[in-house]
Amino acid sequence: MKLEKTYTYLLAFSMLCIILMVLGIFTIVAMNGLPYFWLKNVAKVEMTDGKVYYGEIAGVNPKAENGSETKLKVGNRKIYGQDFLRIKDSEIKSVSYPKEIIMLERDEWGNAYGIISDIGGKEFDNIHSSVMEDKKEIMSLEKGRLLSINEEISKLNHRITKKSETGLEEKLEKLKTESAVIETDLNSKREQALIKTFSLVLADGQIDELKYYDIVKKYQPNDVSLAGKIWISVKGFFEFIFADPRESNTEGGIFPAIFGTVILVILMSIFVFPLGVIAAVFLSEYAKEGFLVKLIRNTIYNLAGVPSIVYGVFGLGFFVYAMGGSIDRIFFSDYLPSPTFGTGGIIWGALTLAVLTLPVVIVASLEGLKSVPHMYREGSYSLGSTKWEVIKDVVIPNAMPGMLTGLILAISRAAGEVAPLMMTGVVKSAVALPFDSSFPFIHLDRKFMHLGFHIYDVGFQSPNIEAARGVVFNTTLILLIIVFALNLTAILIRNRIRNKLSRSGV
Amino acid sequence: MMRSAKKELINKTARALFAAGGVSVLIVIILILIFLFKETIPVFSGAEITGKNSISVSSKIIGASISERGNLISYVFQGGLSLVDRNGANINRFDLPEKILSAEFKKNTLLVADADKIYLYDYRYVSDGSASLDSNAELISLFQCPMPKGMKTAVVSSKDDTSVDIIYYGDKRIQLIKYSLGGNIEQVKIDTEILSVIKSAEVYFDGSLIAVSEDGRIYVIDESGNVSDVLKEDGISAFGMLTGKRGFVVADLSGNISVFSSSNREGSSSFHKIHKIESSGKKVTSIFLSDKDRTFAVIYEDGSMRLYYSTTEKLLLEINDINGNMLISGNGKNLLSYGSKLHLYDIKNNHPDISFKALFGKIWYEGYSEPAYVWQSTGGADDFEPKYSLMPLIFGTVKGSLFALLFAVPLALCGALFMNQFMHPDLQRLIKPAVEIMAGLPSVIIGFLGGLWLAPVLEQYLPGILLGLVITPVAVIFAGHLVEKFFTRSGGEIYGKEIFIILPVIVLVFGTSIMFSNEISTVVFNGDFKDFFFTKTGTPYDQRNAIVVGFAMGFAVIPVIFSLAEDALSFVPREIIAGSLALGLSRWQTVSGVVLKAAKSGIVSAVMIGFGRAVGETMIVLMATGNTPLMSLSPFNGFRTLSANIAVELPETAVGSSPYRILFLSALILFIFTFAINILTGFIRGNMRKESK
Amino acid sequence: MKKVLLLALSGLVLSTGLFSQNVSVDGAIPSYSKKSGISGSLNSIGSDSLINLMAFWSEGFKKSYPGVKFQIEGKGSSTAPPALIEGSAQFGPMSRKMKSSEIEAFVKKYGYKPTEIVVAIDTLAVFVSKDNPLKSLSLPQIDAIFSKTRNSKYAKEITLWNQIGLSGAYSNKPISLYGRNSASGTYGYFKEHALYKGDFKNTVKEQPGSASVVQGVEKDKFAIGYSGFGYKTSGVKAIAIAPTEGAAAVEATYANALSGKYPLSRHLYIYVNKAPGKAVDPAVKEFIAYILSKEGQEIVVKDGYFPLTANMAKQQLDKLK
Repeated sequence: MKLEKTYTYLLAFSMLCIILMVLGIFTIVAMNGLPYFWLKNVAKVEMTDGKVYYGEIAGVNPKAENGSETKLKVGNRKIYGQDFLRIKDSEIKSVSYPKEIIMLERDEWGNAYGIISDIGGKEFDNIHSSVMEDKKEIMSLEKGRLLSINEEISKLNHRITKKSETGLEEKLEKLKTESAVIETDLNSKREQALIKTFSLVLADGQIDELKYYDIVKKYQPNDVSLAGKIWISVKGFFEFIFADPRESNTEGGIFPAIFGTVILVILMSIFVFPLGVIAAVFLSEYAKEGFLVKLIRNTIYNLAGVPSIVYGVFGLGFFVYAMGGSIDRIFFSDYLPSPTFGTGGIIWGALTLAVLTLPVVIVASLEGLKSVPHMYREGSYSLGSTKWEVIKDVVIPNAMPGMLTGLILAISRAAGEVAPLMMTGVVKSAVALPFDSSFPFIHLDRKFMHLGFHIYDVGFQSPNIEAARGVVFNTTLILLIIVFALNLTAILIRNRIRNKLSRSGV
Repeated sequence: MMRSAKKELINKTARALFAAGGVSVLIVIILILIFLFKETIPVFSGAEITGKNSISVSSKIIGASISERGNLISYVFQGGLSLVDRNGANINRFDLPEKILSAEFKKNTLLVADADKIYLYDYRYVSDGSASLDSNAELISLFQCPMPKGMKTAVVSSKDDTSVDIIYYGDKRIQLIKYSLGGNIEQVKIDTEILSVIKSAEVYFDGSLIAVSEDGRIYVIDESGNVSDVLKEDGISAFGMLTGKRGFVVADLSGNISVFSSSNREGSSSFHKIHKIESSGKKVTSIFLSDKDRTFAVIYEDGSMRLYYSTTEKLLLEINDINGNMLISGNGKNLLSYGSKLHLYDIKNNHPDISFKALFGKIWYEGYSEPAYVWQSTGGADDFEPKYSLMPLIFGTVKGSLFALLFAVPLALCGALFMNQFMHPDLQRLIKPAVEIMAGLPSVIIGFLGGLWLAPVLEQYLPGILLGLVITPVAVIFAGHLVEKFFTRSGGEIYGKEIFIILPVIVLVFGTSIMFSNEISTVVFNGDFKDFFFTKTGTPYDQRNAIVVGFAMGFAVIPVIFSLAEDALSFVPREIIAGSLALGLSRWQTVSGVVLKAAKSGIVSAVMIGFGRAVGETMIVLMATGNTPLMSLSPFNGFRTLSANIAVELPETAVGSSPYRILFLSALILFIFTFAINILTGFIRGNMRKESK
Repeated sequence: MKKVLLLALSGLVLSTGLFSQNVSVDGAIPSYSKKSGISGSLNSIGSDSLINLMAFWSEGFKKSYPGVKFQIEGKGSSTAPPALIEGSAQFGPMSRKMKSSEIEAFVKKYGYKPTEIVVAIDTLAVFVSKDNPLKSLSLPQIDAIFSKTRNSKYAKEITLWNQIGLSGAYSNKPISLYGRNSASGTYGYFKEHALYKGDFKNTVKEQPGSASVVQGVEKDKFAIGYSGFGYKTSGVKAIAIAPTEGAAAVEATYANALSGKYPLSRHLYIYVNKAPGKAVDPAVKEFIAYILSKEGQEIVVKDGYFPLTANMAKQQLDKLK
């Protein structure tokens, strides 16, 4: 009797381990990521030898080789060379948190810490916000009309040189003048914005001349209330989602990666959903159980177990080199040798993922189709409908939740899949999004960024890995949340179908 | 009726469309297979002749050369040098001394010798910049000097922008002299006597000279002139240095061909016979080597020629009626035989470096002290000997998967059994989605955490974690009994909700054991676990090791096994369970005696599918291991898997090259392997369903 | 100069000493001057040592030419030649010279050689954890640590820290090896120059990126690894290297890299496809001009590499004329 209970406890222990692991992953990621949004106080560290540092205390290692050690984020990379500094605790004289220390988030070179003495806080804010207004205007000019003019120019140039069409020079000239006008305007605006500077006094007394233009945000961390800090953190989280990356992905946000993932997933769905549903309907409604059908059904089930890397190899060889290469030879031959489609691109990534997720969609759709009670079909037939009408009006609408489950699962898989994308066009930094305002709006040949790959890339390939930790963990957190939400939705829908299935007694 | 006809048409069209959709899925799968095969198969083909041009020449040819891409041919005759294209049309002609005894082309030089003098030229093919092929040649005389006393043969060993090294050898003496390009002797590097008659000599990669004698001795003369007589063959009829100068080919009198290379053992080189190609019964007259790779041509006394590749010992091509000598063009795509006539062969020899043995067998590579399975596909230089053994990768794949299973199988199966048989249904509804969400976790996240978070944590707290894994279950059992004894009158009350008792116990015990990890380490392992392990086993502890991957990949595999096993358990008809209970068997007896037995095949197939998943997993392995192509069973070593290898190397390889095709082969192996596992499990499950009915 | 003092005197940041060199861009390199009408899309595929530089340069370049679009891929130097040959990229950044086989493949397609442009100087560093007392190694020792063929003829394989003179906590501790994956130029360069063309030991943990090598060394007290100097963090230090056994060890400094004294220093290249006698695409030309300008070279310094001298920059620029 006793031994039996023992076994049961062991089983329960295993079960619980699994649950704890799932929770653990979320906790670890959140604990490592979220603190980066928290506005940390900036310490003024005075050393016994008279040196002074300003910096965020990034960690303490009591067991370091030469006695307890503190890791200090001193920023000012342009001047000090590195963001982080390790100091011996035994040599610290005092640590204080003066209110006047300022932290500046910059476009380049990471954070700066210091004190602004030559200008008052209010005044600084006024100048900064007016410069930011100008900056916004400059950006919108650059990304607006100027961008499209320049694109037209390069297209015209291409036509003139490659196809030797004539009569375009005049048009070209006109565009060039227009762009010159905008550029002169832009340059004067930029100059005016760039000219405004202020000085930051660093911890060691050095003075760093900074441009307002380069400052993203100014904080006075030691002078912010708890509520203020919470507000800043929440804002920071959303800015992270919607901002562009800076400093080759180690700072700023991850918007292009999110956007790339979304477009990729949408494209994939366009391919995989109809094909998967059609195949499922064929298998469930039309096919008579024969050798061929059995073969198809079994291959689909088996295909689900094929490693994703194999799909990647196939995608590279077949879609990119074979299909893309042919498209280039036929339609874009005058651009060759520069390939248009014969290189990795979002369309190939999407197609590869579509093949990869096809079994998922088919299997879920089959389950959905199975859940439609036979009475429905028979009822409809008895009213004189053809098979097609039955399928269109009765079967598919009723099986839709199942099919959607499949699609959601496929999307969730695609959002996190990296290995096949590494071969079919994902890049570290694609500044041009695959979808924009220039004709034809969707650029299927463009390379793209992807959340999963972003984690791999920033985590393993960025030069300033200490500073990038926040970005990696938070990207992971966001991917985790997306996948979690998608899976949960799919599971909820599916459970409803299953309940229906068991109620109807099929 | 019209309307109905239209309806019928639509109906039929729809039917055709759906059928097409269904079949297209099948086509996609077949396409994948065909495509992978198509890209892989050329690897196993040998070389073949795709074209042959014969050029007749009026005078006797003393020496010849072929341009890198095989479109130009130069040949030396008494008093001159002719440059012709592949059809024999004259392009250029240069004057050379009369009464030439030998003429040898070597890497942009031409060395001509008459009875008592040598003449050195810079000779190179040039293109006029507009065409993609070389279109002409330039001959510039560098210097001439008398042949040193007692020397019979002169060979250029290397040349750079300022100097040239020439090897001289006579009957029993050998010299290596460095000249400036103006002909001044800058340094006599080696000048030494040897006991036997020298047949041929070349410079080895480390600067020493390798000389072979007709009586079968191989001498190594190091840079300070010390001669060591390292090997003895049964007479030597031909000799040649392989590209990279790390190995050389020797043919003995009975026609056996051997490849030698040295390995470094405790500071001194020792030479080994690393390859042996058995004699075909004919005597070898000479050996010609490719500059591009390790292909070499062996010329036999009956005028036939065989093309071999050193690493794989593969016979690539055989031509019977060549007359005289054989050159291999710089790109390896043309052969030129010269004697009384010139024959130019176009050959297709794309993958000489791959054979079944190269992929799956042990090979003795140049510079190694023994045959080994090695994966090292690229090097910094062109003359690198690529090593394509798939064995370490297959080994790594299996090792990684097994470690993942070691961790995942007990947890997943026990967990599934508990949930299916013992858990309160309310809790079941809550827990099941959690496992399903776990299945959806992207592997890149698991890999990232495994590599950058788990690996250092595991290293730091390993003793604590190991101990925790042992004592926590014990503590759980103990606590469970305790709770039952003191807090519940009848043992059954907490039935189905055991996990609420266990949870705090796990957290407490496991946490404590991790906290005291260092202390445990000091007491149990006498200081440091890693040291302890190293001194006991001799294998170092690697931070990115099989245990880390086992945990991380186990994480990915658990939900797969869990769900399938749970499915299998649900298939066990409730009546059987009820019957067993009614017969007076306890819950546990029912589970172990009836349920598990009934679900056996389903559980086996769940484990197999889990194995299949682990085999193909890429990102986790890529990020959490060191990708070391090791073949060691130690749990604290890393490994490299087929899939990670593809991910790392495929985007970099040139389309159609040997490594490209090998990576496709790896993908094909993975595909077939996982597909086979799935088919097998499908079969098992099919049987299971039949049984259960 | 103050910052030199700050760091040099502190003594606490012994390991960051190398960063304290005041590397500044040669004043004789001219600033970049903007041209008009430059636009188009520029693709770069190649070395991952250079990927961050490329990203920085492209960000800087786009400030002058917002109409230019960039796609940057970096998976290793070996990706550059195929991309240039296929034409999928206009720029092939490489951390090593093209091999003759790669040049041959290019020539086969276009009939001329690719144009090689030196854009920065990289110093390959051998890193150990920051608390490691090791100061220097000779190249043959490095060979004996990393290679199984030991082409340097170093007498014994080195597997333990005490074999290279460390004691105390390090005695009898195995050396844990970190390196790059085979696609990277760093791998090939190290193999050729530090391993004397030999083979790596199977135990070298091949990391997919230079940053993860440094990360690995930082987190592994008994580790040694090689990677670009630019990837140095505060947790690791670069050791001095002696070119031969018994010679004086040389620190990885700008002066030593320029003079060629430091044995593991190399140029970083960008290869472009330029037909002889024909002008390249203006956007390509301007981007290279930007890289070789004062602004472009300042970015080189920012990313932890060493800049070109004015003379070198001019020579490189002339190649596109």
